[in-house]
Amino acid sequence: MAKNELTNGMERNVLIGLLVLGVVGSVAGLMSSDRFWFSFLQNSIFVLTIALGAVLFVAFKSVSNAGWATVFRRVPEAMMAYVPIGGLLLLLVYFGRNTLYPWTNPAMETHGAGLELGFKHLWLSTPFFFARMVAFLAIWCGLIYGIRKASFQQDTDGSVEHTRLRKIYSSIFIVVFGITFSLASFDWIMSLEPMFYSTIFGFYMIAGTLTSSAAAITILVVWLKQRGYLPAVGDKHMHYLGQLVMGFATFWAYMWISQYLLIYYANLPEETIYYYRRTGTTGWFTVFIVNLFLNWVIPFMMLLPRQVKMNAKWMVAACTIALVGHWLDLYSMIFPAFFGSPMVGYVDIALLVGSIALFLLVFFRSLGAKGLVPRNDPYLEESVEHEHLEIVHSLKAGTATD
Amino acid sequence: MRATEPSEKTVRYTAAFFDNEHDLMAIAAEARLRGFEIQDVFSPYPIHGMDRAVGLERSRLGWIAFAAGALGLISAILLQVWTSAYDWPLNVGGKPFNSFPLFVPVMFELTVLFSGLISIGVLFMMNRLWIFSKKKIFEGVTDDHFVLVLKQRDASFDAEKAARLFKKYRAIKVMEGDKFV
Repeated sequence: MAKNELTNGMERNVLIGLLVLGVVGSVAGLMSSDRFWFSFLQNSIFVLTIALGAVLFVAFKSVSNAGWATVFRRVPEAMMAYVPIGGLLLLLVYFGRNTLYPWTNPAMETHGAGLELGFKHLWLSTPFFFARMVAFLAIWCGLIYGIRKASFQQDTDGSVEHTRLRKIYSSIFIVVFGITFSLASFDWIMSLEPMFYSTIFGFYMIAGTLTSSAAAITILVVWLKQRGYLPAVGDKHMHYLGQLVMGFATFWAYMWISQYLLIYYANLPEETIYYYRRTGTTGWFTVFIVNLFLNWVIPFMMLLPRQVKMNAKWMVAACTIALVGHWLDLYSMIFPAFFGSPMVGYVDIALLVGSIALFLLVFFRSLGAKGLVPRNDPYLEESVEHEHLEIVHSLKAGTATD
Repeated sequence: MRATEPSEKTVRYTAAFFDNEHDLMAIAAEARLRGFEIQDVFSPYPIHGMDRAVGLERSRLGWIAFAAGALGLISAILLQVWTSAYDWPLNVGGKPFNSFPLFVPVMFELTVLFSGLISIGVLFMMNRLWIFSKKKIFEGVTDDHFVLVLKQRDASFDAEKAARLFKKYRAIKVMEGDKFV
C-alpha cells in the first residue's frame, strides 16, 4: 500500500526502462564481454555501500542522541531497504567467482614462484568465502529490519520505548559492521589480488561508504524538498549535511594517504605491486590522480564556505562529484589488477544505470509506503528550526499529512 | 563579541539580568525590534542562535582560520623541502630527498596546528577576553546569570519602555553604569 506517490508514472516508467536496459546490457555483457563480472562486482558494491552507509548514518545519529536529522530520517531509512536486494544481487558473484578471484584456481595452491598464498588458503576457500558473504549480509539485514521496524512502530503507538530499542540495535550494528564490513572488503575486493594485503583497507572502504551515502542522502533530500515534500527541512540541515560530506571526504583522504604512506615507506614487493599497477601506466595513473581529486580535493574546496553548504544547487553538484568519485574509487580498486588500461564499455554503463535505477525504485517504494516524517519521534521538535515548528505541531496533531 | 569603537568607552549602559537563556534570547530579539541598541549579551555558555537574535553580522574568524591554515601548510612544505632536500639531505630508506608523500603528515599537522592556535588567539583578541583585558564582568554571568546590556547612546533611549520590556521578560535585576569597557 502506497501512502505517498513520490514519483509520477512517467518517472517510474523511465526508472523501469533503465532497469530493463541494465538487465539487457548485463545479459549481452555476460555473453560477449570479459569485463562483465568485474563491472558487476563494482556496481553492486557501489550501490550496496551507499545503502549501508545510510544505516551507519542512522545508527550514529541514534547512538549519539543527535536530534537534528530526525525530520528527514525516513530518507536514509528508505535507503536501507535496498540492502537485502543488493545483497541478493551480490550473491550472484558466486557464478563469476572463477573469473574474478584468482584464488579459486586450484593451480594457485601448488604454484611456487611468488604465487604462494600460504595460510591465506584457509580463509580464501570457495565455501567459506560465500558462507561469510551470506552471514555478513544476513546479520546486516537482521539489524536493519530491527532499526526500521522500531521506527515505523513509533509512528503508530508513539512509545518512547522504540527510540531506546533503536539505540540498542544501532549500537550493535556499529560494532558488528565495523568488523564484518572490514572483513567483507578484504574478501570481496582485496582478494581480487590475493597476494596483496593492507590492514587499513576496510577502514578505507568505510570512509568511502560514509562519504558517498551522506552525499546520496543530501541529493535525495534536496530532490524531495524541491518536490514540496519535507517542508520542515531548512538551512540548518543542509549546513550539517554539507559538513558531514566534507568531513567524511577528508576522512577518506586521511585513510587514502595512510594506506599509501605505509606501503610507500615499507616498500615490500607484495604491497607495492598494488600501487605499481595503479600508477605504472599513464592511463591508470590518470585515474589514480583524478580519483584523489574527485573524492577529496574538489568536494573539500567546494564545501569550505558556509554559504555553499546552504545552497541546494552547489550541494548537489559537490555531492554528485563525491558519488562519481566513489564509483571511480571502486573502479580503481577492482580493474587495474586485470586490465592494462582504463576503459569504460557499454557493460559498465548498463550496469551502473541499471543498479541506480533499481536502487531508486526500491527507495521510492519504501519511502512512499510510510509517513515521510517520523511524527512521534521525541527528537522531532529539536530537529527543526524555530520557523518550522508549526509544521511539526500540525503533523503531530494529525491536521496535516506529510 | 563585537569590536567596540573607542568613543563607546564612556557610553552609559543599562544591564538587565535574567535567569535563563530563553528569556535572554527573546528579549534580545524584541529589544532590537523596538529600536534599542544592544551593547552585548553575556551568558555562562554559548547559546545557539544568539548571534541571530542580537543581530551580529557573520564573524570573520573563518577567514582568519583559513589564512592561518594556509600559512601552516606553506610553512610545512618549505620547512621539509628545505631541510630534507637542500640544507641537509639524508638518505632515508633509499627514497628521493624530495619525496612528497612523506611530507603529507607534517603538512596536515602544521595546517591544523596553525589554524587552531592562531584562530583561538585571534578569537580572544576579537572578543577582548585576552589576559590584559580590563573588561567588566557582571556578577554571576559565569555561573547562572544571563545579562543583556543596552546602550544609552542618545536621548532616544526610553528608560520607561526599557523597564517595561525588562519586566515582561522577568528580569531579576537591573543596573545602570558608565564606562562599559
